[in-house]
Amino acid sequence: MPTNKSRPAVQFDDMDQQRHAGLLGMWVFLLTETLLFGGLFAGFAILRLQHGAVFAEATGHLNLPLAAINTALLLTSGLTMALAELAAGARLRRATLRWLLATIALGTLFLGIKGFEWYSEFQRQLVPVLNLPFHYSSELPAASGEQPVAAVAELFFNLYFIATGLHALHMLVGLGILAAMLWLAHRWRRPDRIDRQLRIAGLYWAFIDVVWIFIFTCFYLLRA
Amino acid sequence: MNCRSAVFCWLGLLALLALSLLAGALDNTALRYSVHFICAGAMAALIMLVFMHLYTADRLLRLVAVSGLLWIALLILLTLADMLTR
Repeated sequence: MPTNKSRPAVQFDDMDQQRHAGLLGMWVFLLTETLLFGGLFAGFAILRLQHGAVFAEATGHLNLPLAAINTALLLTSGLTMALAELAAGARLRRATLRWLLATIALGTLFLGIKGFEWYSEFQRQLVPVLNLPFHYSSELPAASGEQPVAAVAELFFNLYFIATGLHALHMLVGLGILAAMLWLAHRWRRPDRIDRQLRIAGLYWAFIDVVWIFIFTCFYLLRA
Repeated sequence: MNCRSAVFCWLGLLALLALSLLAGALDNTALRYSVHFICAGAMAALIMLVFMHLYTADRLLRLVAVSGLLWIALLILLTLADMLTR
């Protein structure tokens, strides 16, 4: 029979300490993730300063309207996740399920649009990975003694696919966590535990939002 | 965080996104890039304060978050300092 009584695990003095330890653990994990993405952004900063004109032109080959829609979708999923956390905190099972489903739907839509974007870039031969043909047309003159424009553009697209691919991988992990939370919320055996776990999952989902905002700014907005 | 603050945060995020997109029409590249990065920073701050509960978190969690920001700031700023002064 479901119970609302909450007892801490043996290693904790009380529920507050257990809740706090869970949140602190997730924040420390997110710091390691920050360093992972930080290296990527530092690499981007170096190459952007070295090859400003080519990077700015290459940015123009990406689909800004689709990326803007995707950003709005991800920000909205941040809201629905926050509402799911609030509903779980208020012990409202149906509302928790509804907002979790909305978050999963928005996240899946984001990945669908991202997949469509990647496919259109593949069709235009702008995917320089897995030995796929890469053809880049540029109006920029090749400066003497410097790398060819197409080679620098290839660097940009390499970074773009690594950044968006790594972000999509994190989205998939996030969707997996949310699917597990949906199942737990559907069973509704330990509402206090679901409340704690949703707070931790919410931190991860919001972190994915933050990373995307900087990917969107660096790769889509810094145009010529 | 309550329902009201979450919705206001979301509206603020969408407004900042719209501002960043509108700034794309600016002719001055330095100003345009500055607006883009200020908007991105403001959006990240809003998400961290409201959706990640830092606004109501205790000191230890805030310290962990600030230390993360410090590391990433050191990484990017020292990289830029090296590149821009060569």
